[in-house]
Amino acid sequence: MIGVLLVGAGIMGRVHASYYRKDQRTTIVGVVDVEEERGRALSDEFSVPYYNDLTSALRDGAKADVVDICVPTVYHYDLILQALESGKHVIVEKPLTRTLKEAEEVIARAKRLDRKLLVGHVVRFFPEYRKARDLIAQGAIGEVKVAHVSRVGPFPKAWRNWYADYMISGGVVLDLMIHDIDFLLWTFGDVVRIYAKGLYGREYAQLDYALVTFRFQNGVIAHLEGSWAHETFRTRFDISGTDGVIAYDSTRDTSLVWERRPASAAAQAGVVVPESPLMATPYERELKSFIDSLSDSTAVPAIRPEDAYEALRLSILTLEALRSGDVVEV
Amino acid sequence: MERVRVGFATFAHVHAPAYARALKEDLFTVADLVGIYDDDSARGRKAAETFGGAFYTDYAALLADVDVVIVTAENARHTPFVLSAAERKKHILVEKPIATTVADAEAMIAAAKRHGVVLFTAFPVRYSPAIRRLKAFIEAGEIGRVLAIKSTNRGQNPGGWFNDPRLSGGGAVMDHTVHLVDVMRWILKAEVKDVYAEIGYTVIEGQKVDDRGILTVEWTNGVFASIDCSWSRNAKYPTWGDVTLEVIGTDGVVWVDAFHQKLNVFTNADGYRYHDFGDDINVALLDDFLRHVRTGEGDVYISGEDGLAALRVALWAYEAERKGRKVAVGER
Repeated sequence: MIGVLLVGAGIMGRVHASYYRKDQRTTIVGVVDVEEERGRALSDEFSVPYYNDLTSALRDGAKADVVDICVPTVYHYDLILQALESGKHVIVEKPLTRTLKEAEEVIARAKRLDRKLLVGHVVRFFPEYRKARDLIAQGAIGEVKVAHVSRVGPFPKAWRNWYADYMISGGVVLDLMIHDIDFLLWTFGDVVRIYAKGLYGREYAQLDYALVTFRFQNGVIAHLEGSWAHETFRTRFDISGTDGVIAYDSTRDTSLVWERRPASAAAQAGVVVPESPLMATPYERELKSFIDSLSDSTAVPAIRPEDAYEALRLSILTLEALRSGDVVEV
Repeated sequence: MERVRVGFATFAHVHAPAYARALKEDLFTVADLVGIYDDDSARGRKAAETFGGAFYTDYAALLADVDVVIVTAENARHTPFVLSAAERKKHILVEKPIATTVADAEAMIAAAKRHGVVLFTAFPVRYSPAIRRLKAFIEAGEIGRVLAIKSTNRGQNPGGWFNDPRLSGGGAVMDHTVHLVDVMRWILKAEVKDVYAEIGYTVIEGQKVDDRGILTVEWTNGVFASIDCSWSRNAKYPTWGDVTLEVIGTDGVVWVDAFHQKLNVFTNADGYRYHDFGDDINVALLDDFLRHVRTGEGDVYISGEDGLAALRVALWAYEAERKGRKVAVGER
């Protein structure tokens, strides 16, 4: 049985918790959260102890094999190191850390202590992205020339509005676009140049938007759109090659749409929620692969720490391109 | 002027048949297609047979018989046709890009001014009802202040002289950038301040042709925008391409996909195709141009200067690509 100590009982923490409830190989051994009410609400559901911080959870000897970290990005570094030092494996939401130096350090530490460091770049477990990558690898659209990727949605509302603090979250590039950055690196390899424009430094107040262009070593021109300025969450891509085009739009290419009728005529307009029901959600697929790799020490994780590092590095270089207003050579 | 006598200065450009068809089928009450001059006589004769009018082997003779000339020659060959038309006091509709160099465009603008004729640049996207609606939305403040625009004008390589830079002035960047720059200039009432471009080349029949590009521009009002001008739709794509703009404002977002009023048609003969049921913007453009000629006023006047402003951005994109950095307008 793999004991999981869950750090962070917010939105992502609950998503992870619901997976552990299903996987017979795992058991949640404790919940850590700085907010007692929220932490206890989750720990009570699992009848496990609640802790105010990771230090006391580890001191208390919680029988954890792995610490799963779902807290604002800026706190990742300390928590990862602390968990590794106590001999635990680590599962952490993306981005790995807030800075590259921190990322280097936690990766080196994990290596030295021979612990696994599993970073939640969940897009690799979305079947639409995986399938597109497979088709490209099979040569279905020939040599790729231009790749559009887009990820837009409303400004995230969360604990103490942490997404609105650029120093904590890194804005839409570091928190949201990093998903597409990881997908592009996974699919097309090395980037040589970045150019970017965004609202950061102009309008960053409950609104963020960035348009970014990557030039890859293999000639592919990728254009990335990341937005916290839209009303509805939507992901899209359009990848064109010498022999064809692969296009996807989450609001159209789905198998279920739920239109909610408002309770009263006076209420707000109804909400349309597109879903893409799968036997296992992408988060479940991701966590399953993480738990698989913990169960078999020889297994290579689907996302290596080096992959998470590259996604972070390119995201941070994108922020540099945004700030400098000119080309950044990678 | 009751009816306008129209001539064509070559049928080189792929848009020429659309204008000729518009004259024949939609605008026959106000205009006559008098003749077609073409140095490629087989092409010229065939066009005259298809759309009516006489085939001329002498451009001066054609000019003597018409009130206006539609210049749909190769991009780099517009200038002599435009200049001699202006000298003979003929009004001119010039295909985009207006020219392939700033000097050529300036010469056309000066000649039209000197001789007092209409010089109209063919930017039909301004007549798209969806684009008009977008403009009205923005002017009414419906999405607040505009912050950013993501735009695409994707298509297919038209082939032929489009792959010969001496005649085309460039590939996809020259062909498609100008439409979106013009529409954004028109809507934002601003000018481009700086340009960066990633451009990709393919060798086609021994010529290095740019068939894809992503431009990023900043406007003088602080709006930033990207433009995908690529010939990136493959032969079996269900339609020729697109014109899209996604406009981010302080109070909302608007998407325009100007040619997306379509039926999804699935046939054994053609597989999956889009069949556009939207308005024909080429007809609308030509109609408006003819109204300017007949009455001195119309809906919008898309001037030579408008054509030049859009051309400059395409040229800056190539310059940015050569220099490997952002090009600021007016830099030395």
